[in-house]
Amino acid sequence: MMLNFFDQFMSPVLLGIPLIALALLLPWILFPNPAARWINNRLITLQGWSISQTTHQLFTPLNQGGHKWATLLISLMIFLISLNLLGLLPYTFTPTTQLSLNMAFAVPLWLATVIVGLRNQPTIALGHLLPEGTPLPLIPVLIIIETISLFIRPLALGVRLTANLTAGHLLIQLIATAVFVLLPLMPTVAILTASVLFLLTLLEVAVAMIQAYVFILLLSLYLQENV
Amino acid sequence: MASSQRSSFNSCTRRLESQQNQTHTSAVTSTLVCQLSRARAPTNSRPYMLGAGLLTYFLSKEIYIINHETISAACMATVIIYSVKRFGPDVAAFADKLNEEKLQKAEEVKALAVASLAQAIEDEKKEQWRVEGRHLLFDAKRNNVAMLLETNWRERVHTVHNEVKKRLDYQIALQSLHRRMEQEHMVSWVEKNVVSSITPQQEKTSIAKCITDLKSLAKIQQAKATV
Repeated sequence: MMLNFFDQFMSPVLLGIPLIALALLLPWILFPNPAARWINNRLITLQGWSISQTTHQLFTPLNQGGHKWATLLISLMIFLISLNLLGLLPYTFTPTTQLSLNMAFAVPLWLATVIVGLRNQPTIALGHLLPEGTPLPLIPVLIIIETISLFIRPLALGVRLTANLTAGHLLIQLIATAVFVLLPLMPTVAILTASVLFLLTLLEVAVAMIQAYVFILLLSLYLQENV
Repeated sequence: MASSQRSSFNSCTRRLESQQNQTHTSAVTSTLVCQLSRARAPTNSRPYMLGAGLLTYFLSKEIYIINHETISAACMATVIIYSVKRFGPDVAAFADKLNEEKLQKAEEVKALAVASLAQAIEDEKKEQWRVEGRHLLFDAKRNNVAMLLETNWRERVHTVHNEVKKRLDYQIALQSLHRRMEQEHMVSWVEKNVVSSITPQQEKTSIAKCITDLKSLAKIQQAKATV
């Protein structure tokens, strides 16, 4: 049986039952519900504080119409952060490495922002296709370029998340394999490689959180244009 | 060994008071934990023995195989343990601070209310003290009013006195004027009568007499001068 580094990205199935459903539901139990108390325990206090800080940070630039999206986007962010961070543990499956999942998040949300913009303020939404202060001869070319960039957005959103996580996981696996293989042969080199692996793990933890935040940040920016 | 194990087992099946009131205690696990934690040695080695035994079992029977995932798991474990040990107390203190601030705000409100009520009590006591001293104030006011009345009465008496004196003076002046006028009139009448009663004969004789008197006086004077 060949060691296939891409086996970790295959959607796990046990006796015909897709386990990705379990992987998607698991993060929910990690976040406690606030109890009906005025002063909560430390976990709930921190959870509440961090969520309120993030919401404030993301939604202050938006006007009132954009605040309606707060629940959706913040819950999506918590979901993505937890999925990404749980996937860094050994022997776990990260659902966000599946392009299908990320496109399923990106395309409907992006499309919703576009449709909201075109419905409520079509002139302004179409006006975004032409940046201010462009010279007259460049206008037709620029409109085409901006339209292409508009349609590439969902693709970019989905693929960014997928690629970052997949690449990170692959790198971790490769370097860990290198350490594992080098350990009996050249222990010193193995130790150096292990230090690289340690730094990479730190990077992957950061990337996991940042990519989820960037996903939501970009969606909020697209919303800001259109609402 | 068996008897000591049995005695520990028997003592562990006896439920503690606190355990009886808990809702989430499983009989099996609590017995197991109780049995495991009853210390016979200075450090409690039973859980560690169990852990080491299980690990050896899994490794030797190749139920768990060491591969590259083990190495990445070791890295991840280092990162997690280091971050918990390093940032754990700070995060806990921060969460406690958030709760403390919440409590403190409420305490402030309460303290403010208590302070204002205490101030009200102080003011009330002062008012009561003032009420006790009220009679002094009334006496002073009464004296003041009496003095004013006295002063006013004296002024009026003085005015009356002056007015009466003016009237009487007028009468006196009138009378004296009367008398003086009578007197002058009388004198002038007498003079007039005397002057008119002087006959020319009498006038001549008196003038001659005056002349002889004057001559005699002049002689006397001359005699005095030469002497």
